[in-house]
Amino acid sequence: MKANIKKKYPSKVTIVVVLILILFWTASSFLLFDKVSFSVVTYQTKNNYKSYENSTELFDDKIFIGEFNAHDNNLGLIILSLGEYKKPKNYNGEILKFRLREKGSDEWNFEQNYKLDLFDSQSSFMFGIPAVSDSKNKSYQFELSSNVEDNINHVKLRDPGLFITGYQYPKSEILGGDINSAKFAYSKLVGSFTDPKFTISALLYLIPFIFVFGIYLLIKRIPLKKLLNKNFNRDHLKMLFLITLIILFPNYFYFDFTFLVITLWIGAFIIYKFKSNASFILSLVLILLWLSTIPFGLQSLQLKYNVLVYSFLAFGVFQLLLEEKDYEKKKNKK
Amino acid sequence: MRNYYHTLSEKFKIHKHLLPFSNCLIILFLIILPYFLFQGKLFIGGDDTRLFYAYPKEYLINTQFFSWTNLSSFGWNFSYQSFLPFVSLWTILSEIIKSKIVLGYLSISLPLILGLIFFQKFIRELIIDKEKHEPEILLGSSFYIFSPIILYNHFVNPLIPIWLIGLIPALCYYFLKFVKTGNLLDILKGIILTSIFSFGSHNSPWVGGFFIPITASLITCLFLFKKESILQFFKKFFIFFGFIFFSQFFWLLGFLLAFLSSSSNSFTSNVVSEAFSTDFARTILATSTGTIIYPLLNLFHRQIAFDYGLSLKEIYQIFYDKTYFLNFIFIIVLFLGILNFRKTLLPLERKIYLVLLVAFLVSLYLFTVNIGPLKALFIEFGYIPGFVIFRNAYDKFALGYTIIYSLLITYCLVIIKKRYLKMNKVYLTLISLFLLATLINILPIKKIMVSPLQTTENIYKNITIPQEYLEFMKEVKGKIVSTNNVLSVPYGISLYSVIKDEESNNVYAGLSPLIIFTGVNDISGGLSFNYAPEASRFEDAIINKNYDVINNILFTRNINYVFVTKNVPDEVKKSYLFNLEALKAQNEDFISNITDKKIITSAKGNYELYSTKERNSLISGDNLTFKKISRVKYKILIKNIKDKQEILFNDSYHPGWSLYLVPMPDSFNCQKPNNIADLKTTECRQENAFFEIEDLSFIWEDPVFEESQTVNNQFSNKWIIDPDWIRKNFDKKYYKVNKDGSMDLELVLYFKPQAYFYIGVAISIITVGVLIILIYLKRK
Repeated sequence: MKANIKKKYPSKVTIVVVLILILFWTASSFLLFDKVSFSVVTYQTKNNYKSYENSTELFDDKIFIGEFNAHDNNLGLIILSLGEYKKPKNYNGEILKFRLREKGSDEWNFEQNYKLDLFDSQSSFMFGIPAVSDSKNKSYQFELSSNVEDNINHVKLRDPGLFITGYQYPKSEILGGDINSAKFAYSKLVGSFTDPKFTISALLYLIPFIFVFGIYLLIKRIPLKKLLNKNFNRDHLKMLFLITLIILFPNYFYFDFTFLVITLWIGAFIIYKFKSNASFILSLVLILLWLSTIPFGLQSLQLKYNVLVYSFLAFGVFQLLLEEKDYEKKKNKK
Repeated sequence: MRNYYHTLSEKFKIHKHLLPFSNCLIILFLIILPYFLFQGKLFIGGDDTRLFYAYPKEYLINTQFFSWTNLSSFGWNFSYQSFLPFVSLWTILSEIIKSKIVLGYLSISLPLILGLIFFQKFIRELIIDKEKHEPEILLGSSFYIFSPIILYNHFVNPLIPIWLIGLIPALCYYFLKFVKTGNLLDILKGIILTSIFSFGSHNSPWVGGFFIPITASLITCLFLFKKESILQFFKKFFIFFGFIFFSQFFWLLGFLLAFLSSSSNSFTSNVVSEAFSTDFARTILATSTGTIIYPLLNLFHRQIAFDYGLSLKEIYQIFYDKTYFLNFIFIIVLFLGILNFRKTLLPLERKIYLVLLVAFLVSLYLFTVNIGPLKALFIEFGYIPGFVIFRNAYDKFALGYTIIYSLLITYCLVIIKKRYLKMNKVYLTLISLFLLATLINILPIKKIMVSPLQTTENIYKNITIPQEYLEFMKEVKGKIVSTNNVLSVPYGISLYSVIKDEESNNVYAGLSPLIIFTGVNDISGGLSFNYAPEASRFEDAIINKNYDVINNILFTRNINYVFVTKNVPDEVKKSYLFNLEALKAQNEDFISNITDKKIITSAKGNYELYSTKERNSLISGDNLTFKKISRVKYKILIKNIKDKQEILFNDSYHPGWSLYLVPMPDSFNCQKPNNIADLKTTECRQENAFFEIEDLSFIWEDPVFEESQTVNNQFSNKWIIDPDWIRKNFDKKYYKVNKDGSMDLELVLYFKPQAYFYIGVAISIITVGVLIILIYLKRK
């Protein structure tokens, strides 16, 4: 009976590993994927200005107007999504003008000209402003315009109805350990995870957690012995885990990444006699990982996965041929 | 539980009617498609003009049979006779179907229809219980012909290789049938199809794009099949393709000879030149930027589209970037097939599947190239003679990759059906998703095919050729003899000309069609000079207004007329077709400095023809009279020759141009003599003979003054005629001695490779004859 109860609960090591992975996930997500500094809380913000649709293409001094209510104090950032723009060869120093004021005010609080080459191939752009300490619940209006004359190649706003506003929290509030710190943590979490891009990015770093958790839950249900090797054991699992970690975090390794993974895999094949299916499944997983990187344009990572997918496919086919040869031999013996 | 086999058989009854109906529906869709896309206008232009679909008769008369030159350029001396069967057949068709629109549209639908039909036939030969898998076969065929890779790569500018979409599966189908049955009739059918579409197989890089991965994969047969089976297979392989090979000698001989030719102007010497080889590595490094993932999704390389701002980039942005995840179903089907094939396929099918899998891997690599260290390996392939033709691998291997991927995926669909026989819902869900993804992929077809001319926003390529242009062409044909060359203005960077649509700003932008409509060759851009240094010299001279250099080049290249198009739309002028600086310099001042007088103007004033300042002649020499018999044969009469003298022949240098001495007096009668006093040369009216039996004698007859043939002006031919040598080596009947001791003699200038064409035709006829006799004997 005692033994049965023990089996129902995960071991302490498993709990520690899972907690570490969750911590790792949260920290990595905020530190590596959040496009703004840690002390900035961002919110998806709706454009309250009604007729913005006709002026999303910024050329010939057309003016785009955005209006919003600030979610918090210390408004310091506006992030807009942009369409495809390439700096022309004959760039003549054209500019994009940004200015912001409190709605109803005659004077502009902030005005800045940006050189258009800053927008070259950018999918979004952060317009930083000096933090407005008492911005909460106030309505703000901003304008964008450009003196570029090219009606084909110019800066375009991709999603003019929605943008991101950012609020700079002072260090004292973040580290104070009082209600303000809790408020910051809550706002940071809500603000970040309501941004779909951040959420998808963060999911990438959740993969090790899912992997360990999934292995824990499913290890007895997946026919690994049938799929990979009839003598499948913990050693095999460790090897698979190691290879997966290397694949997931290629930039942490100073060796030639693809060479390392392929060598490990060939080693695993020779020592543990994995079936070809293992190579193909790994290849499929890598394709999924590759596809999940599309929204973020992580080209160097894609290129590494590209080599790995092909290597595993090729290695799998090689294994298949050997297996087929073995099968033929066995059939002939019979 | 309901018996699933029973359910399946019930389904098959439905399939009996559903599948032919679906096939008919797809064919109907393909026939209607061009009408929907181009709305009653011709879709012409590009690197092969596509005009021969609408004007096959003109093409046949003015360019074919003696075709050794490319359009709108100085000759490459490369065989183009592979067009002959198709264009002849199409000309007959044009007598039945009078509408040029219908003919033009048929040329777009037909390759896909043939692809659909023959791909199904091909894959059926690879599946043992094929009758149970007709829906999967149809689905796989749809995956093939509606592949966005094929649609983008072959239909944005539908060039000749589009016919390979049908021809390659057809050839494979007849080959497999022959392997199975040994029926020689299948070889004959293969020969007929290959001959009709020989201009397709002429495009060897795309054919190689399929056969290289397949050949590489055949190595795995050594692992999988018994020695006897392999020997049997290769025996039939050599019989089948041996017959096909020799039956194609009517164009293949010239093609092979061009490869063996050492001429500096030959196609091969250009293709294997150092410049081309250096270009190979550079092009590969620049263009192989894609990854294998998009091809696995059955999509063209996204990265290349973005790197080069191709029209596909916009299609990705508005469509495929939003739908690519649906294509993941193809990858799922592929992997389910790989993981389950051993459990479901019969032993022979398993082996075929493995061979296909290896071929797929190879073609995926060749189509992508950019796979880590394999990219460097591909660059090393550039040192294999001729491999440089694959320098744009993303293009040349696209069709081969799609065919092989489609074969594999059809097999995977069959595996899935067998594997999930008892899990009806899983199978139906997968099939439905597969069909859905295939259909969704073709939604942007209009955006793909009806895309603006590259680097323009509003200029499309479907037009009605204006009556003004056609009438003007008739006038040009009447005014200019085909022994002249013409300069087309505006002069661009490639060898394209522009014809503006009657109503809109749409244009024909493609190889200059002047020769098709008039028989007179023209020079329309930098590439017309066939990579000679004159290309850059000419453009620099235009920009720098150095008219002396221009006039000198015009004279040495026998360019005696200037054809000016005045209504090129502004947006086209700013496009990639022109160097803007050079275009601006081609103003009225330019025209007045390079021309003598205006000869004709079109009805609305959009086209003008001028003569140049200084006139040259195709053939020239002191006291020389010549007459064009055909594009490959000229008769020359030289009078009063006392000492050594030159004969200049201002066409691209080729050692195949040979002089033959003929006995005197011959039937040299000169009608409508046109004396070019400055050159002491007279040109007679041309004869336009098709074929003369004496032409065959040039195969074995020795030419004269062969060793004196040299390159003139780094481009054309020059011979030194020595009367003493003739006197010493020839009987008196070959020359006439005048009272002053001078000599009259008659020569024939003949392009010897044309005679090899006749040998090629004879070999083709003999091959087919032997095959027919064998078929007859076997039946008896």
